[in-house]
Amino acid sequence: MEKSGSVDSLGSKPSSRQPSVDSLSSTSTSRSDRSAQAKPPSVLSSDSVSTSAEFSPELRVKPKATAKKAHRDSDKEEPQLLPNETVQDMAYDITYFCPFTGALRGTVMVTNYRLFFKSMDKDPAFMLDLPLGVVSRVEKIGNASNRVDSSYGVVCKDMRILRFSHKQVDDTLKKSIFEVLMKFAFPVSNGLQIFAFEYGQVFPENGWKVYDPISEYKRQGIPNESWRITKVNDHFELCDTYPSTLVVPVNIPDEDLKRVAAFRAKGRIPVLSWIHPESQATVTRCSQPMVGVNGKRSKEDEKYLQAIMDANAQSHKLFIFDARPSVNAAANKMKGGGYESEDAYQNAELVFLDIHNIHVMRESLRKIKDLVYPNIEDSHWLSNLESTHWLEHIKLILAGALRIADKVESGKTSVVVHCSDGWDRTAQLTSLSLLMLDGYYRTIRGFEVLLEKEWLSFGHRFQLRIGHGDKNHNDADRSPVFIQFIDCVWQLTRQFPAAFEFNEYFLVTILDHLYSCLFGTFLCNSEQQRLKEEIPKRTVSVWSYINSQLEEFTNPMYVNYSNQVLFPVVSLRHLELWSGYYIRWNPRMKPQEPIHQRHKELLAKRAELQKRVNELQREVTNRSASSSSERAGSPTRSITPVQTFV
Amino acid sequence: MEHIRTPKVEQVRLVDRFSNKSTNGTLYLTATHLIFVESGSNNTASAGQEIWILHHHIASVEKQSLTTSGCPLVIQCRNFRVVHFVVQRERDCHDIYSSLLRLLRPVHYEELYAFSYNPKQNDQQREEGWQLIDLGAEFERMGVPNDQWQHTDVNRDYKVCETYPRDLYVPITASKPIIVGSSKFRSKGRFPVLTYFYQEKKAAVCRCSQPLSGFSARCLEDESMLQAISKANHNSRFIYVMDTRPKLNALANRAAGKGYENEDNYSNIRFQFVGIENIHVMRASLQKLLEVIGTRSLTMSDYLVGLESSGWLRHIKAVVDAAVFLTKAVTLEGASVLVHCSDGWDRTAQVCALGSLLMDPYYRTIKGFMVLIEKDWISFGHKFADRCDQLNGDPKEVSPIFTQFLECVYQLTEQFPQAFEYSEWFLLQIHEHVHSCQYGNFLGNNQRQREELQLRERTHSLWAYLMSEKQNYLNPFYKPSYSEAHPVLEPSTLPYHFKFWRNMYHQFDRSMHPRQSILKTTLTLKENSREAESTLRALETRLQQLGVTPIATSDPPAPPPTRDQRTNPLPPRPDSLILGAPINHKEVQRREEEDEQDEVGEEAMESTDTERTVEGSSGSESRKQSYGELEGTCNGELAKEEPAVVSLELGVARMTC
Repeated sequence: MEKSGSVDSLGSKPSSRQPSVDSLSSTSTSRSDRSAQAKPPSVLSSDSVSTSAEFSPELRVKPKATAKKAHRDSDKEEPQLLPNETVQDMAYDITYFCPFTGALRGTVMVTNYRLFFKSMDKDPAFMLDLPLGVVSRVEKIGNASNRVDSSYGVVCKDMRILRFSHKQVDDTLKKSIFEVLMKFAFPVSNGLQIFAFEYGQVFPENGWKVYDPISEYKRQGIPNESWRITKVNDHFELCDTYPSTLVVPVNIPDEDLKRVAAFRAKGRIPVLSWIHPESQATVTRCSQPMVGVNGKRSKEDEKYLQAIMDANAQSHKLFIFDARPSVNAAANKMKGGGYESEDAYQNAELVFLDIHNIHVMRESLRKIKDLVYPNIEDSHWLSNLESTHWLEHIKLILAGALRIADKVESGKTSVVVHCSDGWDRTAQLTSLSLLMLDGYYRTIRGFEVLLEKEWLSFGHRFQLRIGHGDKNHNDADRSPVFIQFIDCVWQLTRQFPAAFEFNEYFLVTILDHLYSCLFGTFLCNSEQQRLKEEIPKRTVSVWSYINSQLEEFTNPMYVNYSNQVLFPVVSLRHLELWSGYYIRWNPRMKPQEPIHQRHKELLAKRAELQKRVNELQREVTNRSASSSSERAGSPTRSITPVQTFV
Repeated sequence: MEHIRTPKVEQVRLVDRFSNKSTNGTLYLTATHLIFVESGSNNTASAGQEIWILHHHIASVEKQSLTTSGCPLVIQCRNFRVVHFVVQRERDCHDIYSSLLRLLRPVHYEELYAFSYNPKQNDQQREEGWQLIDLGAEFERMGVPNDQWQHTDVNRDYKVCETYPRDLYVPITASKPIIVGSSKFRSKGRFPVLTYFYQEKKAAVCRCSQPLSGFSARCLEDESMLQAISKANHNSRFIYVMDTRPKLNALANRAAGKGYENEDNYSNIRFQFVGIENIHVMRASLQKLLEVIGTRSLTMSDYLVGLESSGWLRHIKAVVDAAVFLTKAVTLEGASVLVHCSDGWDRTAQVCALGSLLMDPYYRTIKGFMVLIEKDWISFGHKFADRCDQLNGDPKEVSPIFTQFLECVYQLTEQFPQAFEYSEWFLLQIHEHVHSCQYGNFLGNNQRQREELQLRERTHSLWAYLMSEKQNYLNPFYKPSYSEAHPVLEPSTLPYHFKFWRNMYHQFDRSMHPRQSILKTTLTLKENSREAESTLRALETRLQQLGVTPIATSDPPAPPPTRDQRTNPLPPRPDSLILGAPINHKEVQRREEEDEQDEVGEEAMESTDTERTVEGSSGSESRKQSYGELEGTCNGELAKEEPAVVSLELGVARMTC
């Protein structure tokens, strides 16, 4: 087994990024180029054309050179394997029906981490590199008329459907490679281990250290006179889906918290997410109250919300944002849930944000998938897009987050956010509003903290929503809630291209590793489960990988706007489909040309000029100090704007 | 002037069309402009925002029924500005309304602004302005005349075709009788002539109008004309004949004795319909689009469905598709192509111009784009006067054909940000002036008419003005080396790539402007570099004065910095009219300092009430003010006094002059 995933190979990664391509023929060039030099942690399989291209313009001018190189490399039979990756099966004479270039014959290799297809039909060779975690289901496509060939469709979680076929196996005892594939693609269902537990790569950075709740709360200025850190959930007794560290109002004793927990769905009491550094207005999150049909009340819960309001001296109101449509919220009463009645909660105002549930979102994204893969129909693009309602959902979520941010920032009012269980829509809303409110979360590390805190520690059920290694693809618990959130973040970065430290590739990488099961970050449903499974000990964090090569994920346009609050325009004229993610497999979907790169060049040029100016400046000051000093004024002045800029 | 009944109305309210915000001010009516001046707000001493609307820009004025607050007057402009005034007294409103009705429909060319506009230039400067673009030189650049193509003076007196220019280029083998015979067989006498020559493959792009073939008519001269075009290209045995109309329309034309080329009669042609709709469909489509986007509180569904059913983006795609077809035929197959539609001045101009733009990097430079417009649109007789409704003409002749062309170019700039020397603002500025009638370039319907009007003697050229402001239109991402590597652009025409052009159709709707723009950030960066460079030079000179030779890593001995550069660091750019966010960090910092007590950024200041925030709201007070200053400089005389670097927005603002 080849131990290849060294840190050195990571460093060389940028040079092997594929160039963006202008035509189909050169697409395959870049494809093979990409996978021929297989870089261990890269999850983007080689079909990817658009995502990363914009960051590597240097390659696009010399496709010939790379093609040659790829060709040489393609003599090697196998991709470079990751540490502890082992080949499970190989099969020859397999046909892959590429929706863009047509049928290709080649070899398939299945390891415990990936499916690797290679065809020499084309020059240079065509390769497809697919982490098994991306596989949603494998279906045998029945073909009664043709008994010679067996066809398989590999449906992926990242919008693709790959079709393969091979000759009927003569030996009935021998399994088709796709049955082998199924075993390793769904390790959880087959009693195997997810690859993340075996992957032993060591990175210079340790991503598990990115988030420390105590220091994050300290950054926000907590504990303070109104808020305290409680250890009541240290052993997950109060709420098993919450983290062990919680921030609650000072004057509510731990005993009362338990009674509040009894009144909130799954015991998810209102806890602090973020506090405004000046006004002390807070964003708190929780689950729905267990009001039920009889309109039950809880003195402790009412007192608790009052305490949240009192902690902010600036306002005598409290806004409760219920993410659901009011109809759904009312329907929840039948199941014992519901929403806060304004009679019971004095001074609280309840607002419904009309965001639909996970099932609606799943359906909406499925329609997007049908729309964009493999090909986009030329006619009725816009009305087809409309019928998916995806952008409408995006708009509602962004609008909701904006209202929350606005209440906190401009209204100086504390807000409570919940949906039903407080782990899907609530996570979307709080994390988006935090992104708008706090520039720290717009840095790369800050964004990692945000995800660790609002999504992972507060128990967004990644295992259930994504279904890692689980063959039960029809599970009603699956939903693209997190993808939708990342989409919203992308929409924000479009509107504020200079406000985010990370680039689009960062977002795409996060989504790719959400599925890949290479890293442990997105495994399990809650902090408790992660501790039980010893995830931090036994797996590598995706942040280890990302933070070890920050350069790749940095937005060159970024300027530190940390003191700015972003209020995006949620107008529909500013929202669009995230083609860099959803349509990236389509080679006709050409990437934006590398304007980031151009910007980078300009930055470098300026830095150089700046350096030179400083040098000369010093020189001048030295000289003029010795001779006539009074005339040095004017050049100095014209420098200042440049300096303040850097 | 005799048409102006009330030159000034006070207490007029200007209502934002997407929010409920309104401002009070005074309305002035001059011989050329309608001006709204916002009353000085309490917190600032200076007068507020000013809006200058050129009469020629006004497409329609509508007086709505009286309400309790006054009489609403809605003005729609050709540059897609929509202003909504409420005038307190109905009589004032009526006076303005009827004056405008008269003023915005000039009957004679002499009434157009271009004939009175005087940017304080002497005759020589004006003459130089007109000489900026020389089409003869342009054909020379393409390598024409050559051994296969020659200049012909057959149309010297506009005898053969009165809508063509005097100077035309035809194949060597096309003799005068052939030309004349062919022209008789072509609608409006617009016979096939060369418009672009692709040197690498010696392939030609020719243009003409539809043949008068009816159901069976033939014309031997016309057939030999096409034969001559084919013969002039040794690379290909055949030529493509592109009929840019939908087949149905072409068939219908046959009944009127017109039609299309029969492949049986013409040897070695490949005939192809492209299916771009006619001017009436385009006019209606844009109308629908404007209705959709003008709707208040639009839902996502209505927006997407409305955008689609307007068909506008589909039409844009059709034009680009046609241009791609043309480009492929010429550059890949090396075949010559003859393009026509009905009269050969609308769709033909679009397709030929866009095709040339894809094939030739020169047209992607600022100067080259001017040449392209001059060649394919102005000289070959796109009927600007009719299409843009310059004089009170037939409303059925009005159509946004040229706007559509500019939008096609915009969509390409989005796909190839590095390939174009000019930015979106250049296109917007051209669009502005096609309708402003401030310069002579676009007046009239064809060259002959322009000569009769003596435009070169009596008006100024837009190109000279744009050239003098060149730096405002530069695209910071432009990379000449990109064009060397990719001389021919191959755009993708997936429907996804055609996006609503927000800055064109919402240029004047502040609430629709983005918060931050990459374009602006990069422009600022470039400007910073320039500043640093000039500082560098200043310092070097200073060192030299002190008797030291700077370490020679730098470029050639810098010219002594001008007084400007040394003493005036660039003036702070005014806030953007279109781009929204602060242009440079000095401003951001200044603002941050101002707002130190609470850290609300400028975006936040305006968002105190929820509703506006959620819908995305308009500019803050401070921004509005500088915007006002901007438009305040609205007289051409000031142009000379502008500092070396003028903001883009200034250009946009002055467009209404």
